[in-house]
Amino acid sequence: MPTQTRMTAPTSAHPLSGLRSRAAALTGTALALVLGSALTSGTLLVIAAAAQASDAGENARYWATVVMVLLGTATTVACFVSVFVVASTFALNVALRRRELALLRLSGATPGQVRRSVLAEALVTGALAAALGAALGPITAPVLTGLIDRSGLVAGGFPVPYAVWPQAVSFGLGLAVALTGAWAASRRAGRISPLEALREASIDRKPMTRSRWTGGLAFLAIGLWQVAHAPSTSSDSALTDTTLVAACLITAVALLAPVIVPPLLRAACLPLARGRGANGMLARENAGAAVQRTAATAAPALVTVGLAAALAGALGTVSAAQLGDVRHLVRADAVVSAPGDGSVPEAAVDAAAAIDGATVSAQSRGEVYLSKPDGDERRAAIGIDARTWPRAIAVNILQGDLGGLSWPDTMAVAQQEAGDPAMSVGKAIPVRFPDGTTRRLEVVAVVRQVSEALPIPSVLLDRDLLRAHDQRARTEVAYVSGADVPEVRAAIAGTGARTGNAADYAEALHGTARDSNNVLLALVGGMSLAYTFIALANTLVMTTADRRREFAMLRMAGATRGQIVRLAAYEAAAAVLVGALLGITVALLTLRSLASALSENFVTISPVMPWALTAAATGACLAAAAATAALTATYTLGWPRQPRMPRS
Amino acid sequence: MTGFPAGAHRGGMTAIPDTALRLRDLRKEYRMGKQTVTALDGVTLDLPRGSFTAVMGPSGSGKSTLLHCAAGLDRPDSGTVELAGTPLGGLSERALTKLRRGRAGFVFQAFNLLPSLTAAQNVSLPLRLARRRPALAQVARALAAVGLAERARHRPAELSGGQQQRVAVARALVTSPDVLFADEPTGALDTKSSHQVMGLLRQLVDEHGQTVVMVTHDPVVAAWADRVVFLRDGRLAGQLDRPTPETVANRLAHLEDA
Repeated sequence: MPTQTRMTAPTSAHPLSGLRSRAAALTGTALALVLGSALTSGTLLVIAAAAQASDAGENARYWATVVMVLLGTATTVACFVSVFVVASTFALNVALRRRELALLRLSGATPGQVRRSVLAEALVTGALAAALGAALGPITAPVLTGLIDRSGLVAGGFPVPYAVWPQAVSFGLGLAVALTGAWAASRRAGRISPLEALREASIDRKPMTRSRWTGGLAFLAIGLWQVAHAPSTSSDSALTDTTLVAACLITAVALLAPVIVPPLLRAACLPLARGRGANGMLARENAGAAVQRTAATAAPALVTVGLAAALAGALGTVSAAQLGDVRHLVRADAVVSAPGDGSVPEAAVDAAAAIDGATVSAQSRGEVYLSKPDGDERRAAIGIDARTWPRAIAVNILQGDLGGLSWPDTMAVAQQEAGDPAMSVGKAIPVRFPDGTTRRLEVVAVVRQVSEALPIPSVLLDRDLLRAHDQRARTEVAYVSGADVPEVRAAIAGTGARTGNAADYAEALHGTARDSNNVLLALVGGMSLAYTFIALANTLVMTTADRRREFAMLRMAGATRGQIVRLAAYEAAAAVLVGALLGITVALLTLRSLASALSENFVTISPVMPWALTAAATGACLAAAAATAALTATYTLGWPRQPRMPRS
Repeated sequence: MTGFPAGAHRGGMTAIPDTALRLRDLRKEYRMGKQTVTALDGVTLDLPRGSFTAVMGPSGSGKSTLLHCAAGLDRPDSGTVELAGTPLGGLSERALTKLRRGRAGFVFQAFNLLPSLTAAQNVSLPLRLARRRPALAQVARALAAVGLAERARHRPAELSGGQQQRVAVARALVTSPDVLFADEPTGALDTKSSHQVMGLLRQLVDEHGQTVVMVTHDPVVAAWADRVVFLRDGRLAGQLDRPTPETVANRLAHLEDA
């Protein structure tokens, strides 16, 4: 039925305003989908390439993991946000076209026909936009790898070969996003009564539907349950968990926005409403009457500020937790480490040991092959001095005695290895070293890793044993007790190693993770900001064009053009501010739950709220909203001639 | 005026009831905040096929509600509506829509044309929605019948109010409805256009046996009908056959006094 998708403007106001607001709605949806599909298609291409490259060696495998975590999270967020944008755009589109759709019903369209016409529109827009986005994949992929390259996270990039399936998948995903987003709006359109074509008022009727209540309360319950019963979390899954909780709460607040936003907005406008000017009063009353518009303006800010604050906060909180753990675990007074993946020179270890009263515990990292029924398996190993090591850092020994490492042909294993009965305390198994020698080593102790912040590998050996058989073993750290940082720094000067306290060491250990986090933040932040701009501009262009009559009435009542433009900007900014505040509330709740989950280790962690970033995101949203609203209002006022008698 | 296929001439196979619209004891209440407003309070009315009836009454007397319930746009709280022999009660929204498509035509005060469609496209809309291929001739005939054949390609914004309303009449009649419902069809028109539109409706009744029921508050407009039915506080308050503007105005004045 081609005619149904061609029928456009609402019957009220100027016919062109309808066309324009409708074009705006579809443009916004299309832009959001192109952006999302391009990102997904590019991401999948990079992931496909990474998966292929991961067979090539350790560095590539690391690369692949980083890429998958980073881009996977970014893509999930992109899908979430674009469903959001499409849903709010279509909801508003249907709300603005109520009269037109009612007229269709009056002309003999069944509810199903109206519903299908909305879905058909989503399908056509979605197909075109998703196809374009998917085709852009080969262009976005190098941009993504370039971003990761520049962060210095992984040395050397890798080529992204062309593949068809990432584009096919992102096209399908784009279509699914468009239809999911338009689904609720189409249901709503189908319920429009033909009698509405005969009514004049455009005050929102019942913006809260039963499905909105059900969905909103369900998501709220899930989100709050997750906040209350924060499961003990590892720093690796913290990001995913946080995204999930934040997404739940944001969806809940957005669905309940018609109930939550207007009262808050009225409260926010109270100081101005008391003043002599008209703007405060008008903005306050409009917020109550135009619930759909207000909620749709607040929603993008809610998503952007909420997600950015929650993600950045999660990264900050995890980082604080790691720092806290390392400081808590490292008992040594000074820590000597090598920059990057280098090795602490033996000269530095000797120099530190020569300080009067100082005890040095050096720790080397290498690898061994354990003889297992299925063949040799490679394991990371550290070489330690069993006498000094437990004094340098907190160690949790589950079984046996670490002291046994000073006897010949012994080893200790981490908890995860002790699950194999052949590796329990007292058993001996053949261990092959990188230099080819094989020795039977007896397990003398089982050690538990206390925190991921200070990882303990599978196998612990005497340091001299490891260094004798693994030429490439590097001394990653030397813990010094009984001498302070300046003393040690002075003693090892010139050796190339660096000295610091536990906090400095934590920083050195987790700096890499933070780099990868910053790439993620840049990606997610930039993307959701782009979505916010699309959604805001979209909403404001659609709704402001629809307000021609209201503006004309205000002009008749004596308002100057400037006053009306300021009113529009002020209203939009107020709605965005409320959205941002709700986003901040969501982020705070999410971070509280994350912090209490992380605190279950042993150090109490307080949530780290990224206030500077939050303020910047809020400011960007406010500026975008006020500017777009002022521009569209100016344009609307400038259209035919004014002031014009409002049509009754 | 050439061949307008009106409802009375359709479907020779089944027996066509003499009564186009049968209303029995219609009741309807509205809730306005905490107040309950009784819009219809037991209205019983029969409209014979080929009749032209005007419904009059003061504001809030339930005229529009009566029209909406009779046309299946609104559902009464109790009572029955039979449109061309089919009871409307218990029909789903979908079934009701399909019934309205074939049996009822609507003309309202605001012309309610889709502004992006041309006159011809607006007229063909009900046929397209019913998935019937709109024959060009059929649409052209409908437009010619309202005297707008040469305006087929114009959009509503390029037509005068009277012309827009005549397009709306053509759209209402293109499906050959059993009953044409009109709610203040001249409410937004000047005297001359108003005269044209009423003349058109009168002609449909006289020459094609079209059944028309119209709500109005204008005695001059009501005088075009065969019969005027008066409504007050949701109840029937008398009727007037072969009305003139004077007799209608007179009766209305007494209605307000009582």
